[in-house]
Amino acid sequence: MLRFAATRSLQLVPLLLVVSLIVFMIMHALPGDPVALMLQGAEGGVASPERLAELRAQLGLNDPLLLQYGRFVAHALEGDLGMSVRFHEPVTGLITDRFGSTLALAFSGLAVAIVLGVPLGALAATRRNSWIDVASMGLSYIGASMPVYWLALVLILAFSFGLGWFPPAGGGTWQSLVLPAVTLGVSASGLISRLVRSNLIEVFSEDYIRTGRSKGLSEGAILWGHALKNAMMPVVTVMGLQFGAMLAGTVVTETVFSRPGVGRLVVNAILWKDYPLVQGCVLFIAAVYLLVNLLVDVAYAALDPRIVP
Amino acid sequence: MMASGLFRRVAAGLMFLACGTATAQAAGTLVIAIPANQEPATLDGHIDPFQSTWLVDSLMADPLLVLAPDGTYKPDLALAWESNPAGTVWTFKLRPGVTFQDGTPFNAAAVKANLERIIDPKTQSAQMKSEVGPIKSVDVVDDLTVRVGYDTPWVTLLDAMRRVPIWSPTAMEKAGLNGFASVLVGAGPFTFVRKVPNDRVDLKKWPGYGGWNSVQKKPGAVELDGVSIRWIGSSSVLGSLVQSGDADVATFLDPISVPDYKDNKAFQFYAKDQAGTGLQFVMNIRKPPLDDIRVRQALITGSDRPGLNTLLYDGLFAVGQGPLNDVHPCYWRGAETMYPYNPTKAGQLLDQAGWVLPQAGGMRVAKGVKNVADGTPLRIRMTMISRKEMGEGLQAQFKQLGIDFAVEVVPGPVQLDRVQKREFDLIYERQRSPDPVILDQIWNSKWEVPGGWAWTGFKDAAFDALVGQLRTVPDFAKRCEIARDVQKTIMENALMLPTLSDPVYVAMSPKVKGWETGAEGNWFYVNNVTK
Amino acid sequence: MTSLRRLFRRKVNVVALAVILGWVVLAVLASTIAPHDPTETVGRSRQPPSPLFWFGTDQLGRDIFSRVLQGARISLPLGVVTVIVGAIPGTLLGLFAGYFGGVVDTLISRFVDALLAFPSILLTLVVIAALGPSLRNVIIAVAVAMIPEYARLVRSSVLVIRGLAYVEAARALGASNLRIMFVEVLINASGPILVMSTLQVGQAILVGAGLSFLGLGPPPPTPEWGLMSAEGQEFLRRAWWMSTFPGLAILSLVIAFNLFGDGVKSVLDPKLGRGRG
Repeated sequence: MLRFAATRSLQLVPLLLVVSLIVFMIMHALPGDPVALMLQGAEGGVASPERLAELRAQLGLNDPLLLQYGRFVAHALEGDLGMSVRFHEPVTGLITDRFGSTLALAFSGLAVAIVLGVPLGALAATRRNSWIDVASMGLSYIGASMPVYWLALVLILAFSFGLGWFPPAGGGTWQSLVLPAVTLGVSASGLISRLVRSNLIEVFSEDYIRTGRSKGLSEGAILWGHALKNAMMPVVTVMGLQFGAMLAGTVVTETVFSRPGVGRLVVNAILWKDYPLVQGCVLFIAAVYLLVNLLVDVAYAALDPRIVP
Repeated sequence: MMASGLFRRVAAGLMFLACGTATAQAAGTLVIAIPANQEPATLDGHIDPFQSTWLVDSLMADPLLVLAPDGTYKPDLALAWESNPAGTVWTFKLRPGVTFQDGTPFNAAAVKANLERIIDPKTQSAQMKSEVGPIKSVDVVDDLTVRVGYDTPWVTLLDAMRRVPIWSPTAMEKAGLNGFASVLVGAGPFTFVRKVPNDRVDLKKWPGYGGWNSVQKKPGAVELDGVSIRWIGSSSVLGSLVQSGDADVATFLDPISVPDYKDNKAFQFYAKDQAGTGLQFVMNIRKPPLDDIRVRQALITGSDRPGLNTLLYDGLFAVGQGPLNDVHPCYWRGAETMYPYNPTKAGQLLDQAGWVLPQAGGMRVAKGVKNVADGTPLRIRMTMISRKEMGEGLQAQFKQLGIDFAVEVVPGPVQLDRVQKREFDLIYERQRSPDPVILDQIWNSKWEVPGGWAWTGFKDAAFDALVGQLRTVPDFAKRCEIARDVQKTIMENALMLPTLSDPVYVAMSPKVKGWETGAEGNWFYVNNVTK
Repeated sequence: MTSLRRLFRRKVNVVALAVILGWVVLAVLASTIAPHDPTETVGRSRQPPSPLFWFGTDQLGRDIFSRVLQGARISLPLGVVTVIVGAIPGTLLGLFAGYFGGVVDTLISRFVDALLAFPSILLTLVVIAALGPSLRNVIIAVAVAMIPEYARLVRSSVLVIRGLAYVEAARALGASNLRIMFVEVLINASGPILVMSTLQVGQAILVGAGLSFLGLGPPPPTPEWGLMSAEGQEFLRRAWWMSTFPGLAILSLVIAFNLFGDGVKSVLDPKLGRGRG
């Protein structure tokens, strides 16, 4: 088990390097002079050519690309992701200030997805082909086909402006987390419920279930004791992937609900052409995503007795 | 090392989430909601160019003087001021007995430190530096007298100094250039507590405040326990906050929220215009199609601005007519009759300029236009930062005239990038100030330099001499006269497209008493507020 | 052809296909059947739904129903073209990797893994950051995120197929690698590709609308459904119809594609249909 975890962790390193290379290359292929962009409107108005050249040398932009890339990686390893052009603050600080909020949102979104999806899928599996099955599958399709922002707006309309239960914007309180979490969770719950349903159906026909039945165990014990545990394993994988998708989904959700977060930071950085910030955010999110996938793989291996690591 | 810092910050963020401090607000804290697009990148007003930055800073750091609600300059940290007749030397007499929130005494050396920090190239001050002008020297005459010297006259220093936050020099030095934005120590009624990006700024009452702002009626500390500024991303949410009680004051309301409060006895409401250029769009006259004055005139006379106002904003905005809006003290009335709405005339102008309607219908194409191949369609692009619906409204109007009008919404840096590269036809340029010097800033070809604010490409020596006087003539009435001539010339040359002017709408809960609006719609004072 | 009959025996698939075709018809005929010009101010702004304006009017007094119809002309082609632009390079990569194996496979697979290291929306955002917001760039950005998924899918299908008997036979008969790749292997891998493509059209429409909502898509006055919902957010309390109807349009179209795609999946590969869902 440990060896498995170790090998997978080691594989992470070259992958991260390639990711950083891709990020670096794309950012440096972008149009626009980064130095000119940095000095926009600064200096009380006049950016002289000498100042531009001075700043360019200061930032090391005249060095060969390979050297610049090396410096980029070296700094990144120390936690320095450069300076934001718009905020005049270190990118790393901007990200860590907001990451807590995004994490909270992604976790609660995942929680909602599980709370909604697993029972729904289990219900559908046990009442297979009944109207409950059809209804719950229908709901899951709707959830997965809805634009995230649209669901957010509908929820705001109903529960904020309509009933006044939750705030329509902002962050910092648990109440402000509810609607965004539900928004995120609903679309993911569709996939989870369908997966739980089909896996449970498959598991129900497996040998050891029949053995359990013959032993006289109650339906309930069979379900909760054996079936669910075995059906959950691929779901764990999906949950991990969903977490990654959720990190992505926060992009829209944070914008609609005016919440602070890394997703919204990235979008604004792109709109503002704040390339150092875009670069840093992308690298950070990709690294987190890879880490999550690694953890999911390890968890999957730990849960599945059939995998020999 | 880095990991622990990272961990600390992420943990802090999560903890803050858990504690839900929004509900734990002290009873006497004034909650002010402001649109999120005014949230500054940094709260250090020396660096950041937003008016909202200086407004928030004024709560933490008193400036040398204030523009009182009646429109005159009154003392704050400075008791008196004067300039020599040439306008090249300004002397300020400072108030004794003032200390900063960290105990540092306030004196001429502190003022000198602040001004020098603004003009230092390392600070990269976006706007403040150009407001205070090309300072040659700052001299400490004695502990309470400071002299600011220029090579050329700088008559608008007062308008700048009313906004410059005076920070504590010890705090500035200790925190360093980039670290100061988390410290923000001044001599204002409130101390900086925290800033949560995209969310809020929290300030706490400073008991040691002396009530030095002339607007404040009672000496000593203010009555409020604190102020909390909330940045609200959605204007419909902003409009509902006072009604729901989630905020005490909501500023810069969208016109659509106005009917909720305007004649509603349950709330307080006011509308105040912002003198300045209004929402103007300047034209790039360097290249076709706008290098032809007839095309430019066609745009002005072919746009139905009152119609836009009625359609989009229920008639709540003010109609723009020229380079200054109608609440500006130096507004030129002649602008109203120069280009009345006349789409037929606009079409004729375009025909004369060689842009004709094809037989088959569709957009106008060039026929005998200099430097343009015959058959090229008439395409004009408008670049703007916000209020996209206005652009779309104009788009629909100009489509009737056969103009293919494209609307492009970009953020600030991209707008400036377009200007730099001269890649624009019509571009948004708005300045707000009751002083006509903004006309020089925008229209004097002297400022057609990288980072400068003259964008159109219009060059005329006589005109430059005329508008340049706005920097050197101290008498305000005379400056208004000059300003009116300037506006006339600009309109005769059809260098800009006026649209509308947006007043500031503010709604307040009835509990809020003592709110003072600044002479400028976008400013306010909370020194006398109780709730 | 028995697959087709099996497909249409289930009512769900018929309804889904009908919805899709319905939208196609609406899109094609949009200009003729739209009651008003979608870019013209035809009424007062922010009017609620009425017999004259079925979906109400927006902030500029434009008929939302006509705009929604017009929006179909953007979203439908967007979905289809995006999938094509993403499927072709992705399929080719997977084909080459799976068929030739060895160094080619390693190189391509590492590259695909690196692309998959990004959450797909991030890849999309990065491409938009590089190219700037426009309809064309949305297509490219979303397609780029699809390429690694196609590559992986096709590669694993190819790995299975290339060992099969008739492929060996073709090679023995002296057919060139290229011919074998495209004729024998690809045609037999086309099932999963078709399934994925149907599902991805709906996905592309969703992501495209999301990008427009964030302001990273085509500029105004384009009646793109995501853009319309974004514009309507400011008026959510007073004019809920501005955001709601474009969203319903997307919902109906994407559900139809998802349902139909799942139907195709369960018919073409019963193993796939039953298991992972």
